[in-house]
Amino acid sequence: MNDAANQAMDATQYLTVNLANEEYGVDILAVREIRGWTPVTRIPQAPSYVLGVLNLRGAIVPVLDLRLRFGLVREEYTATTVTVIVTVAGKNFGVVVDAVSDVVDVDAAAIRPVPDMGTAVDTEYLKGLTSVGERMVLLLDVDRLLQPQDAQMLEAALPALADVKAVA
Amino acid sequence: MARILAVDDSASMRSMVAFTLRGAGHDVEEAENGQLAVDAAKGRKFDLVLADVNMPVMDGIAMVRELRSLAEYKGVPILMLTTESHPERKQEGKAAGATGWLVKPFDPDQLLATVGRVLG
Amino acid sequence: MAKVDLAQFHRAFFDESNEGLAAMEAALLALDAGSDDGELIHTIFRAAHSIKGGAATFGFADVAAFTHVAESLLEEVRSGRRAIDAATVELLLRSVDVVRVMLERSAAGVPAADAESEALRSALAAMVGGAVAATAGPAKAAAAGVAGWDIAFRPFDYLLKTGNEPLRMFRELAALGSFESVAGLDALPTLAAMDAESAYVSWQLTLHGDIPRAKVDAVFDWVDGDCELTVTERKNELPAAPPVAQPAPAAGTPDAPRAVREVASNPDAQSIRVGTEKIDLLINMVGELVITQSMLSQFADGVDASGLEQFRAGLAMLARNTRELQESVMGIRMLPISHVFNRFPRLVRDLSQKLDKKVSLDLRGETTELDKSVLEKIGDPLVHLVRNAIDHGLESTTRRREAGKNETGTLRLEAFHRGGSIVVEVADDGAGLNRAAIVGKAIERGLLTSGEGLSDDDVSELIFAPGFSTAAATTDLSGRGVGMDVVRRNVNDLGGSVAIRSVAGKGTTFTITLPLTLAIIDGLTASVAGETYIVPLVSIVESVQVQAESVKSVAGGGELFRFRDAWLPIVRISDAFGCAGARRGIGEGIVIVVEGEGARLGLFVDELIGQQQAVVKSLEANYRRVSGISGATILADGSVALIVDIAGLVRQQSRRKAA
Repeated sequence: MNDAANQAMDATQYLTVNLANEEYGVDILAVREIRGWTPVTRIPQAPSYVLGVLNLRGAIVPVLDLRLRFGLVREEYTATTVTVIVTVAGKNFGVVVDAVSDVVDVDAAAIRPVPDMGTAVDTEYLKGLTSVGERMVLLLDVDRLLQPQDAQMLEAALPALADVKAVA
Repeated sequence: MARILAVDDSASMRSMVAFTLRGAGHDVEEAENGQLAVDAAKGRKFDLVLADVNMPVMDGIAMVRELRSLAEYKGVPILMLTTESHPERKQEGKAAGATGWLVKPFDPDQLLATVGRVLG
Repeated sequence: MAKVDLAQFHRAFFDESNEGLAAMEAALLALDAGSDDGELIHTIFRAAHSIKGGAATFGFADVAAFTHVAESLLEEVRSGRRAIDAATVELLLRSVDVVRVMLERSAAGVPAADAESEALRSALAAMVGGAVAATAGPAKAAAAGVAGWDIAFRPFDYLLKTGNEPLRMFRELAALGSFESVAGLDALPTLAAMDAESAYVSWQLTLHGDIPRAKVDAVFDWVDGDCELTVTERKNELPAAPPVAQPAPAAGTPDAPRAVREVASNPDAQSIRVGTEKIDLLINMVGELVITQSMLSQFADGVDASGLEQFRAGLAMLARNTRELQESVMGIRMLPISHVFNRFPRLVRDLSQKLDKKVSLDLRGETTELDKSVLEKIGDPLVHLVRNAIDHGLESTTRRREAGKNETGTLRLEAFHRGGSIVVEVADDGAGLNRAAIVGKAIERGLLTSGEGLSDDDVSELIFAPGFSTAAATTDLSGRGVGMDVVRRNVNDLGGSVAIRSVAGKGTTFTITLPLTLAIIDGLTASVAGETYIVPLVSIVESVQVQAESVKSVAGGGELFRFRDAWLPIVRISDAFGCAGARRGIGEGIVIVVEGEGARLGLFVDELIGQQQAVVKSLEANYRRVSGISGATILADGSVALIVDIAGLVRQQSRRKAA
């Protein structure tokens, strides 16, 4: 009983997704829903990896492409391409990945730091890696995918205040 | 369960009274002045009326007089919600025919105790 | 039963107290202006009384203590023991301010009283006849160790008519200790003479036990004066009390079952307080309904079979019902502008005293309704305009006399509906804008090099320039670092506009035009490179086809076209928003002439699609603000379209011009 409880407390469920032949894990508590990929409405002044916005039952939700976020090339959107809607700090956004794969239990003790592997992926967005059987799963730090880097970009994109001062 | 009419021009006091009494299982209707209370009382027989004294349009004292003039409200308990600073209002209320009073400020427990006292 | 959490009523208490303070203030101002309406003092008293009662109930002791003193003073006035004079009104107006602040602090969870409130409380207390005595009647000290009480109780015949019930009182006594009663029927009349609602029975009651006298008195406190009552202490007794006798039932309980009719209370006088978040939820749902309905309509348009006629008729009805439902739901959010206008009598009174000007305030159209969200945000801009009008617009008494005008200046605040908008005018009959002073200031600020060739309208527009201030000397009234540019910005953020009209020597009028609501706009849909944008109809002047020959290129890559008497800049949506593959030739697309911030420009789009109502959705809720875009909406096919922020584009354009 006690062991089971402890295990339940230390293990976290992750949704695994495929991206460029690697497997990434997203904390399942952050996942709100999974939708087939649909075209979105492009928004001006957005970083290139923000594809645009979509209608999530009446709410306007931004969508980012994880390939583009990681500096990879998006060749095409296929039948398996999905948009994973996640909630971070009360805000929703969609993450486009090549496919969803699995739901796995990951023990906190089994999470190892990410070594500088020389992969194309910036380790900044990863909180660790773990093994599930033979497979290696990179655990995404969803909190950092859209923020706060974008907040800085927002400042850069909006010259409003500085300009007003210049005129005054 | 009793049918109770809560009369107060202050929405917060009225909600507090109504909420507390509903929580105790009573069927509570609200009115925001004496006139509306009399209108409501004509439409439905209440077992108890709780009324503030100072209200616009028709105050609590006039409301008691009106209610007591109705055949079906001759013996229904009517409690005035008075304030400690105006003891003379109790007597005015009594003279008009009120059953008793509950002195503001009161808390939900005091309210329930007093209502229990009247409803027995 | 679960403990009742009083905190849930705090919001209602603060809301109604602020309303009460507003009513109090308005009534005090009316008294100050010489009205002798007796109802005014009752209104003031009631407000203070309610705030005190609520504050005490909900645990805001400082507020209760303060309002208690104010109420005592008002009680003296109400009962005719004190005449109300200017000094009293002034003190009470200050009390209104102090209580307002105390309520804010209470709401914020910080101690409400401070040195100012304490000083004012002392000043009020000093006015009240005699010290404000503690009124709680001290409970009589209970005699220690009594054996019990003998109680002789003879109700007067009307006792039952007060709703008091001997049986009920006996139950209370029985709860205190062991109890017995003997009914005396000596006063019982003959059956024929008996009045079912009168009390004829008297009782001799005995209560055993060491029970404080006060507890016994408490049982009878409500019938004090309605009965003969003697309570005497029992001499020592030994044997335990005999079994409790059932008290004889009181004559004729008037509680015969009666048919209960359904409640039919006056519907007009009822009002409810509903949290705006609940209303927002409803509005969202109705918005979804509107979208579903238009989705269905589009589907019906696409499929053309004769059997669909009935389907279409049904859809038309759905459309009408949806629209009506939407209007009534939106109506819940609508509040009269008097909520904002209410603060001005006080403001004008205080300002005119401070500046030693005579001002008569003329409020009109106070019942004009507008959306709560607009209402909440329009207060500050209006306050600024009113301050400005009194500070700079209206002349001093002396100057008005010299100019042959009435010494008393007039300030008119008027609200009315025009088309789908609300118009609020702030008009003074002062000196009008001083052209020379404005041009001088603008040159000094580097906004202009010379005033030559400027129309009066151009000059008026200058006061909206960022950083511009018309005050010759900064006074503490208007010179707070907030200029007319901020007023315009605030109004623009609400989707509205500010215009100014000034006549030298006659006065200045500011006209604010606002949308009825922020939740829904009428828009023109336009496509650019396959993308759909919505342009708010309220900003559109005209859509025109422009020939390439009539476009003039200017240095820096800008384009101008001739519209009526003016050359307007062309803003290509494709350039502003980075759409790839848009039409380039001006003649191949459409130019939408729009107006915002008092300036016009031509928006170049590929083509117009049509007109539609758009339920405005926030981009910021999940993403962030995007320059040039005011929000988004959901189209009939479920996809998202962006709404163009005309004022934002105009600002960008003028910055580009300035650069």
